[in-house]
Amino acid sequence: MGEPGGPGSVEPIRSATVGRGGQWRDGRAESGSGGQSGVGRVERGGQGRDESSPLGGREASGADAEDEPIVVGPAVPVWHPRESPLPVAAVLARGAAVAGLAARIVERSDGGDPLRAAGDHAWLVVMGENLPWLDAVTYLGWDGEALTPTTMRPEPSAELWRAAIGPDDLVVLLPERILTAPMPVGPADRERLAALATPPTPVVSKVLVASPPPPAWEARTATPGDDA
Amino acid sequence: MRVQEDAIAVRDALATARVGLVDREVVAEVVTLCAVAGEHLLVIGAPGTAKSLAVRRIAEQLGGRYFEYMLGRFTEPNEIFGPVDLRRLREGVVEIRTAGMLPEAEIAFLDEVFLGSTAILNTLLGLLNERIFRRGATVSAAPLRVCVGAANHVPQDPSLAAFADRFLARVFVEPVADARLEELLEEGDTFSTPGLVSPVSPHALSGIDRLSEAAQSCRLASVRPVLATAVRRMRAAGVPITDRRAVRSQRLVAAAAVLDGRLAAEPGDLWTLPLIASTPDAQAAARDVLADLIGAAGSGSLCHAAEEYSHGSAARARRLAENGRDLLARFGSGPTDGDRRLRLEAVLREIDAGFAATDLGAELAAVRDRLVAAVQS
Repeated sequence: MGEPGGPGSVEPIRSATVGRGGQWRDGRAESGSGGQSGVGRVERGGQGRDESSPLGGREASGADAEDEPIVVGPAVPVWHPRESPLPVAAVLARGAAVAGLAARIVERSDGGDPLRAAGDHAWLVVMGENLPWLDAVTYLGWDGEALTPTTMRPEPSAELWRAAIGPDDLVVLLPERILTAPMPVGPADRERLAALATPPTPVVSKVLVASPPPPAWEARTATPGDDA
Repeated sequence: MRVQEDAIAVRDALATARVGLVDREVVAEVVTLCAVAGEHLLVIGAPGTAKSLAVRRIAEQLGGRYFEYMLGRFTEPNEIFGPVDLRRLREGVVEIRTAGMLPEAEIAFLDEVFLGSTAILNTLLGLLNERIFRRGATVSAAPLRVCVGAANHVPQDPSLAAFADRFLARVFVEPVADARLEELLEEGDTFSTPGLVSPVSPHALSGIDRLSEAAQSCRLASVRPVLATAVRRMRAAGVPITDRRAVRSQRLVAAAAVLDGRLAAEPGDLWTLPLIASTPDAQAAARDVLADLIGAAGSGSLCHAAEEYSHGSAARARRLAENGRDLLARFGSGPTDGDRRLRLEAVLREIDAGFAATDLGAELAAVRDRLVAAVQS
C-alpha cells in the first residue's frame, strides 16, 4: 500500500457539502455573513445543517461522514452550463457506479498510460488519459486548479472556491459536494482498486482507509464569504 | 427537393471519405464546401500531417479528374500544365498538350504551392481566378471545381501573399490530437492506400455542380445585415478582411446553406466566416467575436467543419450524432470486440463529457441509446 500522495495508492477523499449560512467552517472560526461577493475561508467541522437547502443537509457519503457534521452556509453556489465543455481530465463515479469504474481500471491497468485514483466505495475519481466510458459517471475537467464537471461552470468561479478550500491538492467541485484529497501522483494501486470493484459492505470502507490512516471521507460545508 | 437529395448524397460521400481519416475530417469537408462555393482552399500544416491524403480521399469520393503535384523550386511549367506540342511548334505555334494535366483537372491538389516559379504562379493566377488556362497560343476553359494548395506555413513575402489571397478559405492542420493516437495507429496504416474505399456514387461531382448552381441562386438577403455585423466585428478584432474577401465570403455562406439542404441562408451558416481569416490566431479571434452569431450553427453534411469553426453545442451535437451513426453502420449489429467497443465508447465518452443528460436533444439521445446498446451487447 502506498503512502498518501505517493505512488501506488488510491488516495482517500474527503467530501464536503455545499450549503447556506456562514463561511466554510472547521469548528474554530466564526460564522460569516457572506455569500455576497466571493468564497470564504474553508473551515472544517462546524455544526448543524440547513434542511431548507437543496444541497445542504445531506449526509456526506463515505465511511466517516458522521464524524464531520455538515454545516450549512448562507449561499448555494450557482452552476451554469458551459458552451464549450472542458477537456476531459478525470472521471468520477458515485455510489453504485464506483465498483464498475474500479473494475474497468483494474481490467486495463496492464497497458497504456497509468491512471491515478482517489476515493473509496462512495466516490472514486480517476485521472489520466484515455479514461473508460461507463454509464452514470461524470467526466471532469480542470477549471484552473479544481476539477469540475466538464459541462458546468460554478459561480463564484472555481478559482475562488479553490483558494478558499486551502491546501488540499485535489479539489473536485460538484453541485452536491466538494471532494478533496491529497493529489495522487503515482499509478493507482491495483489491490485497492480491486477491493473497490467488489460491492461495498459496512466495514469495507473502514478497511480501505485503515492504511494509510484516515482521514478517509470528511464532510465539510462550503459557502461563499467576504474574505476570499 | 433536389438540393436536399444532393446534400444527402454529398454527406454520404463525405462519410465514406472519412473512413480511416483520423482528425482530418475538417479538411475533407472544407474541400467540399469550396468546391460548391467555386472557391479555392489553402491547407497549412507541417509535413506528414496527412494533408494530401485528406484531399485525395474526398477527391476519390467526388469523382472527376484529379491532379496532384508537389511543386519545388525547379519545377518546370510543363510538369504542371503539360508539355509543348512539338508538332505545332514546328509550325511556329507554341501550344500546350494539356491532357491529364492541371488545365483539365476538376479537382487539384498542389503541395508546396508557394515554391512554384513566377511562370507557374502567374499561369496559376489565371486558372484560379478566371478558370481559364492561357499559355502561348493555348487558351482553354478549365473545368476546375476546386484547387487545394498546401504549404508548411503562410508566406511572408508580399508578392506571394497576393497569390495566397486567391485562396479564399484556409485550414490550419495540427498533428493528430493525443486522444486519437490509438485510432491513428490502428487506421492510419490500413487506410493510407489510395482507392481502398470505393466511391459511394460515381456521379457525386454532378451533385456538387448542381449544388454549386443552387448556391448561386441561394437567398442571402436575410443574412446580409448579420454578415455585415460579423465582418465589422472581425475587423474591429484585428482580423484583416479585404473588401474582396468580404464579398466572396458570401459564396461560402451560400454553399454552407445548400450543403445543409436549404435554398436560403441562415445566420448559422456564418460559421464559414472564420475560414477566411488568414492565420490560426485570426481564426480563433473570429470564432470568439462571432460566438453569439454562430453559436447555433450546424450542418448535416459538414458537421466537423461547422463544429470546428463555430465551437457551438448544436454543431457538436450534430457531429457526435453523425460519428455515432457512422460507427454503428460500419460495425453493424454484431458483437463488439475490444477495439470496436473502445471506438464506440470513445464517442459515448465524448457525448457524456460534452452534454448534460438533459441537454442531449432527441437526435443525439437516440444515437447515444443505440451506442449504449451496442457496447453492452
